Formats: sequence, C-alpha cells, structure tokens
Amino acid sequence: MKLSSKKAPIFYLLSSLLISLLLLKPASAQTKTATGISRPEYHKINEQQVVSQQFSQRELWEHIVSFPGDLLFVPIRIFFFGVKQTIQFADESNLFKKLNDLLTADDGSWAIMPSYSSRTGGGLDYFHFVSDTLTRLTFSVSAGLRRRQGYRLGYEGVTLFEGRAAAEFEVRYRLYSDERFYGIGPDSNFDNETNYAHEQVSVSASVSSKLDENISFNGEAVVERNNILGGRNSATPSTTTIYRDTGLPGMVTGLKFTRLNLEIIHDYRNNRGRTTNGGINRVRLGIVNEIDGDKFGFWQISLDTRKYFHLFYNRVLVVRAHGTFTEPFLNRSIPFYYLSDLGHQETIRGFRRGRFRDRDMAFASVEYRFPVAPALDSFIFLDAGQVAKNLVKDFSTADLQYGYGWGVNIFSENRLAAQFVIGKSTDGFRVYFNFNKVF
Amino acid sequence: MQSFRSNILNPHYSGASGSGLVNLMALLMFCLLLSCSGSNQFIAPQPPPDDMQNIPLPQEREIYIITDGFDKQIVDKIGGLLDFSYQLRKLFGKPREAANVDAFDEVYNSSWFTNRNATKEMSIEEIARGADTGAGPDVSGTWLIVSAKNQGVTPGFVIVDSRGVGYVIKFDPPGYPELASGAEAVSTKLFYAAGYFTAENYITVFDPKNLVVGEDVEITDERGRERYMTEEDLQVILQRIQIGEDGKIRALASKFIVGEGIGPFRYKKTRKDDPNDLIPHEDRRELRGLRVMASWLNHFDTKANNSYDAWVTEGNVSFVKHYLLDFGSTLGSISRGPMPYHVGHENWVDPTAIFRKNLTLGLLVDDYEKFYEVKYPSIGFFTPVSFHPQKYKFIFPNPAFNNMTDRDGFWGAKLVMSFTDEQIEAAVRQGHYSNPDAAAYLVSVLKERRDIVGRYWYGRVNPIDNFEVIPESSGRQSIKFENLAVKNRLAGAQSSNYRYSIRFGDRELVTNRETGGETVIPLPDFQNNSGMYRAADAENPIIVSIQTQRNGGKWSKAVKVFLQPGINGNSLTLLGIKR
Repeated sequence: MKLSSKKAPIFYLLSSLLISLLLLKPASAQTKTATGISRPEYHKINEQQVVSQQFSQRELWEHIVSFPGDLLFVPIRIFFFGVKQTIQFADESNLFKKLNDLLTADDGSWAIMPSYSSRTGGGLDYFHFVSDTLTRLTFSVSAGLRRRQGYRLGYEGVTLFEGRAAAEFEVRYRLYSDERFYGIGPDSNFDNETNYAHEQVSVSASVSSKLDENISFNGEAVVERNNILGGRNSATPSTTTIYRDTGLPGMVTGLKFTRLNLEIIHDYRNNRGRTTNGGINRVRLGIVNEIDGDKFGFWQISLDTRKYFHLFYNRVLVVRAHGTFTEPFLNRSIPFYYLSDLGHQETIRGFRRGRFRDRDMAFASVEYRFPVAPALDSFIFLDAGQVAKNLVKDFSTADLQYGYGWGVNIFSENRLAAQFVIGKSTDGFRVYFNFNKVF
Repeated sequence: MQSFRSNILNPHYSGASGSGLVNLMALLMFCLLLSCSGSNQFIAPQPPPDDMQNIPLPQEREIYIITDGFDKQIVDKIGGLLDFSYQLRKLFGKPREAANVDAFDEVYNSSWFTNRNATKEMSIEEIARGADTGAGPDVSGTWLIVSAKNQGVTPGFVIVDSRGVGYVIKFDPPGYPELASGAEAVSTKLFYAAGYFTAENYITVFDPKNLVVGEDVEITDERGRERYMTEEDLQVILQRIQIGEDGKIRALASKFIVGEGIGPFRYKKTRKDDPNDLIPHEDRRELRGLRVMASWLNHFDTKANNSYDAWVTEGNVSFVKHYLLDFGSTLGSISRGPMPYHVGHENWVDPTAIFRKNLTLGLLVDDYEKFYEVKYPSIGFFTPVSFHPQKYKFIFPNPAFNNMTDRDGFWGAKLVMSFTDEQIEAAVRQGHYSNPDAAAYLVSVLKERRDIVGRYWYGRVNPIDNFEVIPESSGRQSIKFENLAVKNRLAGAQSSNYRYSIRFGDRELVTNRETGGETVIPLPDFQNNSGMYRAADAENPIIVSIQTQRNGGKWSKAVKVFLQPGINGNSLTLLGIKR
C-alpha cells in the first residue's frame, strides 16, 4: 500500500503526534509517578462528597492503539449489557423460581412442565396426583408449525394386585399436519417428497408389571380412528393428490383399528439418565385389526437391543440393533403409515421422518459418548439400516442407508434435560432438538 | 532508529520504504519497546494513597453470579481480544505490572492486605489463632435462629448466641462429615496468615436442642417464595444434617464481620462510590498474587461473590475493608461434596476445554481424570498429582489473575513458601479432623503442593531476595541476599551459583563475575572513587545486576539492585530492586 497524497497529511499528523508523545514521555513519567497515581488528585476528595474516579494504568500510546478496538467493543458491550440485564432481571426477580412456583402446587400435588419436540412443537404437560398415591391425572398439550397439535389425557399409575402391576388409561388426539411421504421401498427418492396430515384419535388402556428388578411387562389395548388428509406443507405436493387408496393402502379417512401391544423390557442400565454401563432389550408384538371392515389387518414384531460399554473414564460406546417386521394376515393390507420406517431421530439420524418405508426394517447404530463438561456429554454416531418388503429375502448391502453425525446431551442432576443432534446422510444435514419431550 | 526518525520527520518523505500503515505500526511498536525498555534511572514507585481514609458509607451492592460468570467467560474475553495494547504487550512479553508495589516489589499494607507471615514468621499460636478474637459461639446457651437457608445440598443458619454475637452456621454435606467445615477452617487460617482479611471461622459442636427459631424469621422455600420459618422447618433441616452419636452437630461458625456489609468486590476496575479505591483491582498485586495462594489451596471458587466489603470504623476513621469469604470450596471440598476431578483444570463452563474435547473426541484422557480418588471422606479430593500452579483454572476467568505477571507470581509464591511444615500442621489442626490419618494426608498434600508452587515460581523467576548492604571489616561494603529456593530447601546451596555485574552510569565496574555460590557480593572501593561516589543518586545510581544459575544450567534473568549514598554520605543504601 502506497501512501496517497490525501492520506499523507493524516499520516504525518499522527506520526508527529506519536513522536511528540514519545519525546515527551520521560518528562511525563517524572511528573506523574511510576504507579500512575498522583496524590494531588486524591487529596481533592472531600470525604463528604463521593467522587467517581478511575485511574487507568494505560499509557497514552496504549489509549491510541486500543482506540479502534475500544470503538468496536462498544456495540458488543451494549448488546451483552442488554443480555446481562435480562439475565439479571430473571435472577433478581426469581423469575424462574416464581414461574416454577406458579406452575407447581405447594404440596406437590400438581405441576405443569414445559416440553418441546421437533415433531409436535412446544407444549405443556400437566400432572395432578390423586391423593397420596402415585396415581396421577395428566394432560398434555403441544402445538407446532402448520397446525401440528397433540392433546393427551391420561390417568396413570393406578395400582393393581396390591401394587404388583400398574394400569394406565389414555385418550389422545394428534394431528401431524405435514408428515412426509417419499414412496415405499428402499429405492424411494428424496425428490418425490409429498406430505400428508395424519389425524388420529385413540383411547387406550395399558397394564405394566415389574417381573423382577430388571424385567418388566407392558400390555396395551388401543382403539383408534385415523384420518389421512391433505398435507399442510405447501412446499411439496400433498400426498392425497398423488396417491389413492388403491395405490397406497390407508389413504382414506375414518379408518378404525384395534391395536394390541405386548412388550417385555429387560432394563439393566446403571443409570437411566447418564448411562455408562448395562443395557436395555425390548421385544414388542403388536396386532392391528380394522374394526368396521376386513381390508386391513397385520401383526408387527419389533426387537430392540441397546448395550452400553464403559470404555474408559466415562467414555461410553453404545451399540444398538433394531428390527421391525410387519406381516399382513388373512390377505389383508397394511396402512402405509403403519409400515416400518427409517429416518427419524430414533432410527437413522440425518434423514427426515418417514424417509424410507416398507414392511420390514432393520438398523444398527454405534454411538460413542464422551463427557466434555460436568453436565454435558457429546457423542458421535454412525447409523445404518434399510427397509424391505421381506428383509430376510431382500436384504442387500447396496440398499443400506447411512447417517452419521454429532450431538450433545445436556443433563440436569443426571437426568437428560435436552438433546441437540446434527445428522448427515445422503439427503443432507438434519438438526434435531428435544427438551423434556413427551410426544 | 535515527534514520527512521529522520525519515518520518522529513517533509519530503513519501513512504517509499514501506507503507504508511506499516510505519505507523512500527512506530507504535517502538513506543511500546521504549516505554518498557530498561533504564539506568531508578524511579521509586510512590506509595499508593492511603486507602484507609475516612469516607461516607458506600451503597450496598450485589453481584449476580450468572451475569458475573457471563461477563468473565464471554464479554471480558471479547474485550480482551479487542484490547490491542494489551495484545501488543502480550505479544512482546511486556505485561503491565502491578500498580501498588514498593521499590522492593512488595505491597503496602492496606485495606486489602496486611503483610504477615511472609514478612515476619508468625508463631504456631498466631497461625492457629488467625483472625479469631474469641473461642466461637457459646454452645452452652441457646442459639436464636435469625435466618435460615434450607435450599441447596447443605442447609445453613444465621444465629445469635447467648452472648448476642451473630454467626453464620454452615454444615457438612451428607455422607462427608468434616469435609466443608474442615476445609473452611484450615483455609481461613492460611489465607489470614498470608495477609488477607478473613472472617473469624470456628469449628463448633452444638446440641440441636439449643436451637430456637426466632420470631419473623423468613425462609425461602424451594419455589423461591419467602415465608416465616416454623419449628417444623427446623426439624426438616435438621434431618438433612448428620448428627453425631452423642446427639450433637459439628458445624462451622463464621462470625459476623464487624461493620456495615456493602456487598462483594469485583476483581476488576474500582468501586466508584469508594473514594479510597483508586487502583484498578486487576492491577492490585495482592489480588493478582492471590492466584498463587488460591491455586495452592485449591480455592477454585474465587468468584466475586466469595468476597465481602465492609465499611468499618477503626479509631475515628471509617473506610471499606476487603475480605475473602467462603472457603468451603477449597482443599478437597466443593461444599456439597468432594471436589470433582476437573476442578483446577477447567473453568466451570470452559469453552476451550469443551472445544478441545470435542475435537479430540474425548480420546485424550487428561491426567486429572485418571487420578480421581477420595481417600478420606473428610478431606475429599485433594492431590498434588497433576497440579500446576500456573495452569490452574478457576470457576471463571478472573481479570486480576489473568493480569498476573511473573513478578506477581513470584510474590504470591513467597506467600505460599512462607509457610513452614509446622505452620501447615498448626493450620490443619484447626480443622479438628477426627481421623488423624486424614489430617496427616491433608498436611502432606499441602506441603507437596507448596513445594510444587515454590519449584515452579523459583525456577521461573530469579529467586534471590532480601537484599541488604552490609559493612565489611575492610571498611568497604557488600550486598548480601538470600536465594529463596535454597532457603526453602528446593535447591542446594552447593549447586547454586551467582554472577554479577556492577555498573555506574556508562561505566561497567565489574562484568559477569561469579561468586561460586556465595550470597555476598563485595562492592567496589568507593572511598578511592569519591568522585563517582558523590555523583551517584537516584537518577544515576550504582546498579548491581545479579543472575542465578542452578546445577550448571542456564543463567536466570538478572535482578538489578539500585544503590545510592546514604544520608550520612559514608555508606551506600538500597534504593530498590528491579526484577
């Protein structure tokens, strides 16, 4: 950079100023004292008069050099001042404690908890304990973009057989307004994305019992009504305009089903929140039958095993294998939304929910977790899996789909409070965030 | 340099030899180097103004821990990056030195600090007594509860004993008897002996039956609501406290500090409504050097909220006195349990550590993760393993600690090294540990960590100190000094060597002469150089530069000792030193 004639005078001015300062420096040091504090100024202080004073240790050249940085820092400081004031207000006014107070009963008989899930959006869960038992009435509401909504009324923790079993009753309404559909089979194309709204009302009763310390049994009976409606995401075509019931079983409204689910869980994790050892195995059998017709009926078996290996110093390897197999019975069909699917946070991370659908699904996952702060674990993962009409016959490594990525678990007193995940797949990046999720 | 100056001053200069910007930067560099460059002139630092002058009562203030942490972790870091002069100084290794030091690099007594053990060795009794003026609360009478803390892991009370004296009563965490109370009692003694102002903290054992809930005692419940405390609340609190087999409770009683509490002090800038507070806190030697003491004692929790300013009246003068408080999170205790493994190695939320661990996928296991072991519940996790006095990290980055220079560190190390084995044992006895093995373990860790501090700082900074001009029988004079590393048995006298140069004005009277381990340097015969002798003064002093060598290794940086004729004119006196 050559000094232009316009800039030269400024440069000379600055240079001269600096040189003057340089030459004057010893003299000023003599008069000022080595510590930079001059007594006369101090003695001006009247003890009755509070004087605001700042004795900067910066020398003049430092003020000059720091001036641009100081200038840059002004808006940053103002911004952070605002942030701090907000935090301070929340802290000073006990906002969170008072909010918590507002949302919980004095005797702990009821509470309202906020929740968030990327599928259904944000919401509130209300719990009301009945008498002094663990029986509670729950009501959850959540809402998200494009009129996604969920309501759930539950009566939980009803003890049976002198406490050897617990029952739960539930009425639920859900509207997933922009569920994605890409086709059926492992070859479904990302570009063929459509969307539909799935409205479901269900009534269920379930019983759970602990068979021993680690093994529990759950049984659930559900009656439900399903409506498939036009998708509310205008960015992609509605599935209902492209597919008909003949081409895509279940693409109708008013389909009623009974569902019976039986599940055995073997849970031997050392800690339910920040697990470092042990594992959890689940076997689930579901039978679904149409109520007012004989078009739909199927059974579904799901096997899920997750094992936590403590490697070293709280580094944990989590290995998971999962398979779901769906078969129609009596030559009936399977509604497309009950097919096994891959592509949500619980399966291959990096794909969108419902990215791959077919009767059978299998996937495996390897996740490596490591602590990065007292209440923070990071993890990296590799998920792989595929869907097929008959996985035993049609399994092909060429159809395997992969997802990998990184995430963070945030704990509150060893309980998972929030999770943030970035997954990458052939479809691109997906970000997931959950906080106290229920739905 | 002359040609550079003349180029700049030349009106026909067109910047042909480089850009204007580059030259400007070069000029600024020159300013920096010149302003920091060594000079033969000795400017004695003037004593800072007396900060114990009468002032009106400043306003009480609070510092919010979350915003304070936010400031330290984010705002200050950005500010530091944009402070170009600070960055330049860092780049050139010319940090700004502390503002309140004397000619011998020591601090003046003030409302912040009183020179104690490092200046004059305290007796065992003095160490044991510390700041205490009595024997603690009267356990024979009733204790009136005037406020209570029932939240958190460890509850606490504020009581007034039968003598009418107020105390804050703190308890040990469940499952760890003696942990927090012991740590606080021991650390209080050591911080006080080092020179800081502390509260009077007593280990006390009391009968809970003597507790009486006062009238209108407000209690904040877990939902943040204030209400009056009841007898039932007291019983709930007592259920969370470990009661001994004799039905009594051990606790730490912290006596109310005399004066009007006006909130904590910050580790940066000054308190605007305290006219005595003129030196930016980050430039105070005792606060910078506190980093060394705090690292020794694992005082991780050195946040502003663990300090206390009191407007006190001594004689007819009222001023603000600055205290360090709450040592429950020191040694092996973090108040609610043993110290976690990362304490001292990472800030509470440490973006650098989080980034590093993510980058390495947690595969690099830090040493401090490997050696986590709680040997004694009453001691918690306190170890000399992987302790590094310079790399020690605190709950938040601390502006005063960040400004610590080698000179500050050396001063802090002198505080730490001033504690003898016997003094450490005396301080640990004040923890009243029931298990002698636990107490012995604590003593051994404190000694080891003390020596680590000494080895580090006395290796980093030329450890000679305590200079004296002594007369020789020949009528000439010598300079005598101590090697603190040798004094503290961290280095052998035989393996230490010194060399010195003596300069007066432009004349080098002695050049690089080795003493062979002697700590006495004979000065030239000034009686035969009376002209030179008479010419010497503060602006033109006699300078003796002394370097140290250990085990035949590298020579250290020189400590310059400045001399001038004394008032009587016959002998030389010390003007000061420059490290």
